[in-house]
Amino acid sequence: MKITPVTTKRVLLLPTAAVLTCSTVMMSCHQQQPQSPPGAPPASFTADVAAASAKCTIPGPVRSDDKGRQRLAGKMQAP
Amino acid sequence: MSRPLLLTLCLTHDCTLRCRYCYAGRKYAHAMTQETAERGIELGLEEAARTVGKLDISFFGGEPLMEWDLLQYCHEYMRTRAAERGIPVRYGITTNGTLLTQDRLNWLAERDYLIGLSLDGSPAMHDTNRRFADGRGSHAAVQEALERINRIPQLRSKVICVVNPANHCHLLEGVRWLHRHYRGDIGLNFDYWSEWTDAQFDSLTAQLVKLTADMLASYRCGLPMRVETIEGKIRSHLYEQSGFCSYCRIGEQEIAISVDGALFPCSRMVGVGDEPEITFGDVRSGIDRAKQHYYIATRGNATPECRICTLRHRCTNTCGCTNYAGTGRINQVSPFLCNLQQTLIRLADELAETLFLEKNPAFMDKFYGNFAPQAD
Repeated sequence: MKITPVTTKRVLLLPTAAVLTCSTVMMSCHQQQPQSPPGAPPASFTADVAAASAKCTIPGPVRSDDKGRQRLAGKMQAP
Repeated sequence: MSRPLLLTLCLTHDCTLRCRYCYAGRKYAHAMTQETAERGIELGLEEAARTVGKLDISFFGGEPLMEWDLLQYCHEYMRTRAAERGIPVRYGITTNGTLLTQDRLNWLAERDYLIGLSLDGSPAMHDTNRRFADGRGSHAAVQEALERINRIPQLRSKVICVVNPANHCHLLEGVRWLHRHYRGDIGLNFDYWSEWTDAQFDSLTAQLVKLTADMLASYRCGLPMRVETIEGKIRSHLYEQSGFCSYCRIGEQEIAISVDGALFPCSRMVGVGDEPEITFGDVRSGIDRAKQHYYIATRGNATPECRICTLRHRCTNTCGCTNYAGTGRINQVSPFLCNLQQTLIRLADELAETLFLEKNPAFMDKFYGNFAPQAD
């Protein structure tokens, strides 16, 4: 036996809890929008997760240089 | 939220069994004194007060129930002193079950102990290694303890099943036996102290493949096998980005005290308690901070190959005592650990993907809870 690192990241068909949380929040927001016809069957869960995965980013720790960039982009008011 | 400080007291070197894989060293009648126990408890409370403010105490050995009077004394001493200092304490014990009478179990249950019962599955698997001094297998005696545990539903318990080169060929039947006789969590503790040959590892992999197939079937029939070792790998994917994956904090969050009062950074490193190179103080002189800082600075994983491994955050490569058992260094991974972890992760992922795509109700409820979608 020897130590052999796995260098290829396998993409699982299993959403992480974080993605699923985003998905749940997005579904909740989606259901509140008036253009959703009442009583319409929900999209398949897998599609929701895929959509959420595409749009959702998990925020990491905010670093000072991130704040600087946001300020430059006008997204954050300078103190 | 930070975990409580874990204080382990090894009450005795003596044991009713002579397990072939025991890493705790030679068995002889030598118990911790009351004075050492008191000093150890005071040291644990002081360190908890200085750090996380809460404490778990666990009684270990040898077989801790051989020192029943001392255990009761320690419990009362800890309860009184912790209350005076306002430190919340939870209690636990790891036992081989051979001395776990109904009266003792009732006493432990009334005080909300977490019971870790060492039971290696079926009679064939268990008796391969876990024998009395006269050579008799101990399975029948331990099964009686398991039945007593089952009769107290509110009791917190888990079964610890050790898998080593000698008994691994019985793994599937062993876990099946436990699933039939026990409804709590089953933890598989792989023996990292032993040498595993390539052939033995292939044979272990074959057993694990069959075991996860059994787990799949058990979920489909609505009564999941609770094999914590596999379920933990599923959770390591689900919560990978939220810091759920455990990271060993050796030297910081655990103090194990040997019979003679030496301090060790993990209960699995105590052995016979006479290895000065891995101790970090004793109950009389206190914690050796220089050595503690050495552990903190050295812990983790320094194995170069692991730096590029995509599974490193789901692997137990930072577990100090496991690395120590496999390589003699707390930050060096053994080939067995690497190969085993890759196998466990692969099998857990295949199991979880299948059950997720089926929207298996038991699986969705267990792993996604409130976020679980309804079945179509």
